[in-house]
Amino acid sequence: MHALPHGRLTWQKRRPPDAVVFTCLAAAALFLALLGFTLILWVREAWPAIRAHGGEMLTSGEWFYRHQHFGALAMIYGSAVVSLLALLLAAPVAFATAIFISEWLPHTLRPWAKAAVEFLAAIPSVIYGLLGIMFLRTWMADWLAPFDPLSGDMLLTAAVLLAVMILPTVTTFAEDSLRAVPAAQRLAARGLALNRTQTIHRIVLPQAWPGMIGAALLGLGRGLGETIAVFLIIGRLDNRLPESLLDPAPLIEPGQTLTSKLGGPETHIAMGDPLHWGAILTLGLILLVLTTLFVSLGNLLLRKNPAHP
Amino acid sequence: MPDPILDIRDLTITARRRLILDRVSLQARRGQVLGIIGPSGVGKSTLLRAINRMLELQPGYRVKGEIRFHGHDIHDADVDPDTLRQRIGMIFQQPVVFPTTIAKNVLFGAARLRRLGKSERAALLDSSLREAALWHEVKDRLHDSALRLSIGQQQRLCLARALALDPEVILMDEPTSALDPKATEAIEERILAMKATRCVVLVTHNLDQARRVTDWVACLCADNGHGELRFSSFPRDGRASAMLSETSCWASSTPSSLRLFSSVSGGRRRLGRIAILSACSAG
Amino acid sequence: MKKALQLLSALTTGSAAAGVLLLAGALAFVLITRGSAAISPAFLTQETREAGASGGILWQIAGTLILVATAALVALPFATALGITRAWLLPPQSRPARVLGFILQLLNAVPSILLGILGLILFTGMLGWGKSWLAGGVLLGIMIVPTAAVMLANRIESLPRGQLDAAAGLGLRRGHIIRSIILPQSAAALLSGMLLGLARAAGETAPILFVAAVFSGATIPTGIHEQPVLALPYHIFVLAQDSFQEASRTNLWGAALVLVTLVSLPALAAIPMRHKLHNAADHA
Repeated sequence: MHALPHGRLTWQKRRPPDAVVFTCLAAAALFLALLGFTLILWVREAWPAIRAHGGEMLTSGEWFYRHQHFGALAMIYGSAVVSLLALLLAAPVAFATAIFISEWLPHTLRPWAKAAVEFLAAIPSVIYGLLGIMFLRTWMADWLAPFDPLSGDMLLTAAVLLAVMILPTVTTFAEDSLRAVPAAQRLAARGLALNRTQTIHRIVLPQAWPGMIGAALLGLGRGLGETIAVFLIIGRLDNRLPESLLDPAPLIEPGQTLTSKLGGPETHIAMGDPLHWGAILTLGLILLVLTTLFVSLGNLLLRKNPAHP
Repeated sequence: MPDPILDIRDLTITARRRLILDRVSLQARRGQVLGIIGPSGVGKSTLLRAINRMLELQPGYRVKGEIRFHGHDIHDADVDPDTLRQRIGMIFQQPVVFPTTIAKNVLFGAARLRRLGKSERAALLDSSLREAALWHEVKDRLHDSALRLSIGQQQRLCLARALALDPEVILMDEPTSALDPKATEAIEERILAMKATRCVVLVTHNLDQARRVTDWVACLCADNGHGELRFSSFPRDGRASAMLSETSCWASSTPSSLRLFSSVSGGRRRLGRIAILSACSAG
Repeated sequence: MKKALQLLSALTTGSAAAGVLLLAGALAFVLITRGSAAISPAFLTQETREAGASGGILWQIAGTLILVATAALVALPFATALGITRAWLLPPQSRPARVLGFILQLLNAVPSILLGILGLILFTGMLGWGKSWLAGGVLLGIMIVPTAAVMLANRIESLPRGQLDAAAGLGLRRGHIIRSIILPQSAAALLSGMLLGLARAAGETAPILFVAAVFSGATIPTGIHEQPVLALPYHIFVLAQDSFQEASRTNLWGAALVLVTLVSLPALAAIPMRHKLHNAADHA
C-alpha cells in the first residue's frame, strides 16, 4: 500500500495561515492597535495644554486652575521625594530580607517566607491606605510632635507607607536575582573553604547586584505610580515647594504627588475645559514617562544578571 | 540507477556567522539507506534538520545551496514546509511521545491533516503499528497512556507516528543511541524492512550499525573547524570499509572525540564509542 | 573573628527578614481581629444602610465580582493571543518578539490611575457611557492582560523542545501545534496568571474610581449606559476618608477583611500551580 509516487510532484502552494494562527495574530494586533490608538488620543487631548504652557509645566510650581496656571513642579517634587524616600527606607530591609531568604534560610522554610512576602504584595493599596489613616497617621504625628506638624498627613507619612508597600516588590525581585546565581558556584566557593558570609560577599553579591539595583528601580516605578494609599494620607495640599532642594521642612507638611492629584476630584472637574483637561492629561504623561523610564531600566538590569541569559 | 529522491548540492550552513557545514553534496535514492557518520558536533543533525526544513524553526541558522526533493528545490517559494515535513518524516534521538494514548499518538499527525473515518483510523493504526513492528505488543492497549511504554517501544511508536503519514523519506537522528541492544536490534530490523518502499537517511555514531544497515555512507569530518564531506561510498566496498575504520576522520577532531567520551551513557552506546576510541588510538 | 562576622551577617539579614514576617503577621492580625467583629451572615447578605454605619456589603461584593468576571472575559482572549504570539508565532529572540515582550512588561507597570483616566477619555468622553460596570470591567481586563500573557509566554518557552520538534516533524501546521500541544500543556500557567491578575484587579480602586464605581444606589446593572456598580475597594476608599465616624468603623474593618480574603483566595489557588510550573521549568 505504500507505493512511492513517481515523477514530478505537484506541490501545494504555501497556504495562508490557518484559523488559529490568524485569530491569535489578529487579536494580538488588535490589542496593540487599541493601545496605540488610546495613546494617540491621550496626547491629542493633552495637546492644548502642552501648546499653551509647554515647558512652564515642568518649571513652575504654581497650579491654580481657575487662573489657568498649570505648573506641575510641586507635584513632581512630591512624587520624587515620597518615592525616593520610600525606596531609601525599603531597599536596605528588602535586600537584607532577600539575602536571608535566599542564602541563610533552609530550603524547607523558603516557601513560607516567600508566602509572607507575597501576602504583603497581595494586599490592595486601599487597605494600606486604611491602615495608614487608622494607625500610621497618628503614630507619625505623635512621633514628630517635637517638630509640631499640622497633622499626621504629610510627605513623610506617605513615604513610610509607600516603603511598606514597595517592600515586597523589591524583596521578590532581589531574591530572584540572588537565586539566579548558580548553586554550583556557591558549592565551589564553599569547597575552597570560604564560609557562608564570604561566599555571599565574593561570589553571590558581585553577580547579583545589577539585578538588585534593577529590583530597586522596579520598586521606584511602582512607588511613583501608587495612587490610592498615598492619596489618603498625603494631605493633598497644592503648590508646596521647598526653599532649596535639601530643605527638609516640606517633609512634615502636607503635599501633593502626581498621582494624588490625578486621583482627586479635580480630574472630573477638568473634563469640560480643554486646557484644564489637557493639563491633567499632561500630568498623566509625565507620570507615564517617569514610570516607563525606571521600569524599563530596572528590567534591563534584572536581565543583565549573568546567570540569567 | 534511478533518479535520486533527495539531491543535496553544495549545502552550506552557517549559524550566527559561524560555518557549520561547508559545501556538502549527497544523494539519496529510493530503496536505499543512506548513512551519515562522523564525530559529534560535526553537524550531522544540522544537515538532517535542513532536509525537512526543521532548521528554520531554530533562530540563527542560514542555509545556502540546494536540496532537491524529486528534482524540486525545497527552498522554492511554492513549497509549503509543513507539507514537506509530512513527506519527509523524522525520528529523533530521544523518543518523544505526546502525553496521551498510544492510538492518539499514532494518529497525531494524520488526524489533523485530513478527516479520518472510524474504519480509516483503525486501518491506519493497524498498518502503521505493524510497519513499526509494535502492533503485537500494544494491540490490546491502544487506549493506554503512551508514557507507560518502554523507551524502545516509545521509539517504535514515534516511528509508527511518522509512518502514519506515509512519508517517502524518513530521517533518523541517531535513533538507537538512547536504546538498549535489543531495542536497537528491533529498530535496525525496521530500517531494513522500510527501505523496500521508502528512503531512509540515518545519522549514527555507531560504525557497526552503519556497516549493518546502510547501503551508502557519507562521512562528515571537522578537519578545518567545520563539517565537510570526507567521502561517501558503499559501506562494504573495500575502500569504504577501510575508511569506516579509518582513524584520521575521528582523531583529527580531538575535542569532539573527547566530547564523545564524556557523553557516553548507555550500554550499547558505550560499546560503539569504545570501538571508535580504540580506532583513534590505533592510528 | 570570622565566626563573629558570620554571626553578625546572619543576624542583621535575619532580623530584617523577621521584621518583614512580623509585619505580614501584624497586618493579618489587625485585619482579622478588627474585621471579624463585623463578619456575620447578615453582613454578607444585607445591603448597606446609614452610609455604612449599619447593614452589610452585599452589593459591594456582587459589584466587585461583576467587575472581576467582566475583566476575566475581556482579558482571557487577548492574554492568550499575546502570549502565544510572543512565545510561539514570532521567531524566538527576534526583534519583534523582544519588542512585544518589552511592551508587555511596560504595560504591566503602567500606574493604575492612568487606566482610570484612560476610562474617562474612552468611555465617558468618546462613548458617553457615564459611569458603567462595563467600563470598569474592560479597564481591569486591560490591567490583567500583561500579567497573564507573560506567564503564558514563559511557560510556552519552557515547554519541552522535543515535543514541539516532534510535532513540527510530523508536518503539523503551527495552528495544529497550538491546539494540540501548546494550549493543553500551558493552560495551567495561563490560568494561574489570570488568577493572580484577577486577585490584583479585585482590590484595585484607581481604575474604577471615575468610570465604574459609586458609593450607594446601585445593585445589579441592567444595561451599559449610566449603570455603575458598588465595589468593595471603592466602598472602603470612601469610608476611610470618613473614618471619624465611629459607627461605620466596625463595618469598615469588616469590609477590609472581606476584600483581603477575596484577593488572597485566587492567589492561594495559584500557588500549587506555580510550584508545579517552577519544578517543570527546573527539570526542562
